[in-house]
Amino acid sequence: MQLEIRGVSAQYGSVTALREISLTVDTGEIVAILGPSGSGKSTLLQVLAGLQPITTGEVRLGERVLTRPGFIVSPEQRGIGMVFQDFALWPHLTVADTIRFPLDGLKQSHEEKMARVRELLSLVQLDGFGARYPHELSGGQRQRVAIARALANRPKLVLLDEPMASLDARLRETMRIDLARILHEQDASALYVTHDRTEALVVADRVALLHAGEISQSGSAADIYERPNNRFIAEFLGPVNWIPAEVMAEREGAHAEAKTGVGLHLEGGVRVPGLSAQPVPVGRTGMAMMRPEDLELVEASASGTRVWHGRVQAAHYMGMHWQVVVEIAGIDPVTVYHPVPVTVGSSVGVQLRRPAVWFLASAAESVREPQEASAVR
Amino acid sequence: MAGEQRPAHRPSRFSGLGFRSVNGMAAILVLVLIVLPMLALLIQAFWPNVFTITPNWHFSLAGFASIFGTPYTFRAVFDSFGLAIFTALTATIIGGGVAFLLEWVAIPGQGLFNGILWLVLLAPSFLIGDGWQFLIGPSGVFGTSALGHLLLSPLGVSMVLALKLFPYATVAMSGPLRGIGQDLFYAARLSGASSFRAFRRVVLPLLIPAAAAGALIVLAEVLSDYGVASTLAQSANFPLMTYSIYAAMSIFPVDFAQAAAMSVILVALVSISQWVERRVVAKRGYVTRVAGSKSLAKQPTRHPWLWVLLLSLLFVVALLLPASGIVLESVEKSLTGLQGGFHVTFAYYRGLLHANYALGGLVRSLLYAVGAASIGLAAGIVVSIAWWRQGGWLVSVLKALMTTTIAIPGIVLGAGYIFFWNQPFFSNLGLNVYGTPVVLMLGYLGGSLPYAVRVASGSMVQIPPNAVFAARLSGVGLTRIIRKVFIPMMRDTWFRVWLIIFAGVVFELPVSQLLYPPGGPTLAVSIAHQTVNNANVQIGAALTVVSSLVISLIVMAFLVIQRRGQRMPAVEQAQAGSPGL
Repeated sequence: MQLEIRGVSAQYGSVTALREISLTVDTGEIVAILGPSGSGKSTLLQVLAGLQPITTGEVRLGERVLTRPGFIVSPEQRGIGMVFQDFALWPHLTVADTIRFPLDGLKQSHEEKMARVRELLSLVQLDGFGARYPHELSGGQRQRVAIARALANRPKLVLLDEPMASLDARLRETMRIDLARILHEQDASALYVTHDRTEALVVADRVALLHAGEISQSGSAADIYERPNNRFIAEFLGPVNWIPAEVMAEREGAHAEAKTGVGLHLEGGVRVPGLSAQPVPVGRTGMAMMRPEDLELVEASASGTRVWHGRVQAAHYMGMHWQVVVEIAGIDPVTVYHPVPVTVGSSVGVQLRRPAVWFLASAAESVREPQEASAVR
Repeated sequence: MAGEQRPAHRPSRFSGLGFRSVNGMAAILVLVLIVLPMLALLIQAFWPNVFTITPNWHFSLAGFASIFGTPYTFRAVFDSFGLAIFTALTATIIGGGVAFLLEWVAIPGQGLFNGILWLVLLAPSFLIGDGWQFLIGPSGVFGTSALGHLLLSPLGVSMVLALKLFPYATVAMSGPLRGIGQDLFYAARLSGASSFRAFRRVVLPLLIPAAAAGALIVLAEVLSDYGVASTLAQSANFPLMTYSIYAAMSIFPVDFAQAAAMSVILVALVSISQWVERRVVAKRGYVTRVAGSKSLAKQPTRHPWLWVLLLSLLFVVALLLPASGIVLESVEKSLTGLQGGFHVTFAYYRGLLHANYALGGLVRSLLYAVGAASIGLAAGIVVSIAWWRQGGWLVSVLKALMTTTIAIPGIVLGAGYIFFWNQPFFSNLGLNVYGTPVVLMLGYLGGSLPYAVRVASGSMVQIPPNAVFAARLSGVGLTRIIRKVFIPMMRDTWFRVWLIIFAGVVFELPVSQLLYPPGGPTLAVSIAHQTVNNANVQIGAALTVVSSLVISLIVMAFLVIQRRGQRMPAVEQAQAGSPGL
């Protein structure tokens, strides 16, 4: 059943927390709402849970209107499950009682309800834990109970409010994959709110980036990571090198995504193919986006149209690789990931690995309007 | 000296800060004010001749035998226990309902009702008992035989105590109710539960430990209460343990062994209930709100004014009716109630100027209260600083002592002071304090100290340890840390402690009755003296009214001064970290 958020705004007193948000979540789809603190993520969840009224727009689940200005369906009548950031497990109920709780109001026999509890315990890999209390569980187990409870009465939509925030880094890695599996197995539509880009990219089928109460961009994880609409999105999703560039020629789209192709002249004498969200006239200046993993260190003697030459300014061991900062004449230092240590002060070449780079026109960092972005799909 | 190395100092956690002396001072205060007087009394339950003119250590349980062999005292033990259980249940039901209305639903005037709740909590129980007697007792203003019969019955005594003590249950449940995280409640709502079902299935079970703790606090308070025991219960011929301790020490010949044995039983019962309460609170293991999760907003209700009316009625019955009983009694001309019509007179107020045992008591009590509140606060700060640091065996012993002595009934403490401060040892040292205002002041301090420590140390845990550590790293000493860190952060709490000790001492009855110096009765003793003597009941009522007004004005003036002095809430300061030194 499709969730449709259409032009929704919400306010706290005079503060507008959401500005005409539009987004759809299809049946069985997991959409991540990614955004920094204060971007409106929690407000959006509260609107969907029926805890916050809206000032404009409409929220529908299938054909049913859940919220519109002056009208709000109460939380218990929405048919929505929710996994809370702190899991919100009731300390006086066992795991089995907690999972059974949402089933109490259903017209089912005791056996049917207990069968569903066992099914969910198995789904979240907690067989045999039914008699335990929350304080007898680890963080990961508690999260699984919270997920099982949210899925118990087969909700049409599951809301997840930063469900990994209480877990340690190692557990988070395994739970991300488990969570995506569980949600897909139940064929549940899910809206996953997080400020962690890795979580969003791994768990979700689609990511919507929320910033200052507006959806700045929405699309597949790869789409918004590699082709962000503006500098904020690019930098929120990970480290970026920005290199001034000028459009030298229009090119045919070199990629299946059919973005506009441009020929770019980058500062430092490098010429590379580029991609832009929309046609850009020859002579237009802007910034070429290169993530550290798009670059590689080569011998100082290397040459070619895709190579800069510079000197190693700093090198930091990061575990999986070395983060090397290279000073290049005429542009800001660039960051490159390198598998082995390099000597600070040594001369190196920096080569672009990608066939084409993403280009943002400097005159308008946000090439697409937010409302267009929310309407993608 | 060349080549000579200075000996390495053993690292000391508290070096140079005078913290050791704080521990020592705290230990002396607790020993002298509470532990030794208590031991002096309780020891006589087992060695009754230890303080006689020719002392001996002959072990005897004669005191216990006399309690269970005398019908009056035998009844007192069982009456007290039965009354405590019944009252605790009633007060918890009322208190729970009030907590629900004050903390769960959104109704107008909750701040005002919270204020009145504290007035009920602070009102001296003997005045409440007197007020009800003046109002509907057999010779009260509206007295009828049926009402008087009901009031002067175990049920009546229990109801009066329940209406006086229910705020303890409210306070015990309010915190947990307020602290329930919104996620716990909304998780139930989103699981398909209505508001009512979410409350019943999630919130109520979470409140059970708090309700049990509230009931146990009320239980201990009923067992310890002397005010109602010496007024209403006494008139109802309903013997209770606290009054029987007083009686054993007031009759001739004085039965110290029985008083001591009764004190042992009373202290044991109170301590058990306190211990169970602490176990309940510590073991509940319910974390209802994790850091960062919001507490639940108050729930809207369909009939807010109905709840306001209900709460108002409760507070009228709990406070206004007994208060009006005292006021009416003080202006009622006839001594036989309203049967002959109500005739107003202010003669009793004028009589205050000439009567013995009148305004002098008020003045003395005000002086005692100011002294006890000031010294008691200072002593409480010393002990709570030692407690707050949580270091060393001495502090552990202090903690254990303070938690076991926190609910010592005043009558037991007073009796202990009689034995302890009456010892020839003190005379030999030239400390002849027994029978002087000093011993009474010490008694007030002993009674106030556990409370002062409890409140002060409860607030002190909110001080971030690094706030003090940062000050110590800056090289400042204890005095400056207290002046620059503790006082600014704890100012409001300490002020509250001072005010509550002041208000408690000014109307204190049991310790006063046992320790007041000859010719120097306190306010509560004066009121009790006037009301026990039927001919002067109205004088006692007038004295109560005048005293209450004077004390209320003083308390209000202090509160206004405090409000004006408030620049930044203490909690915000604590969160902001260490202020500049």
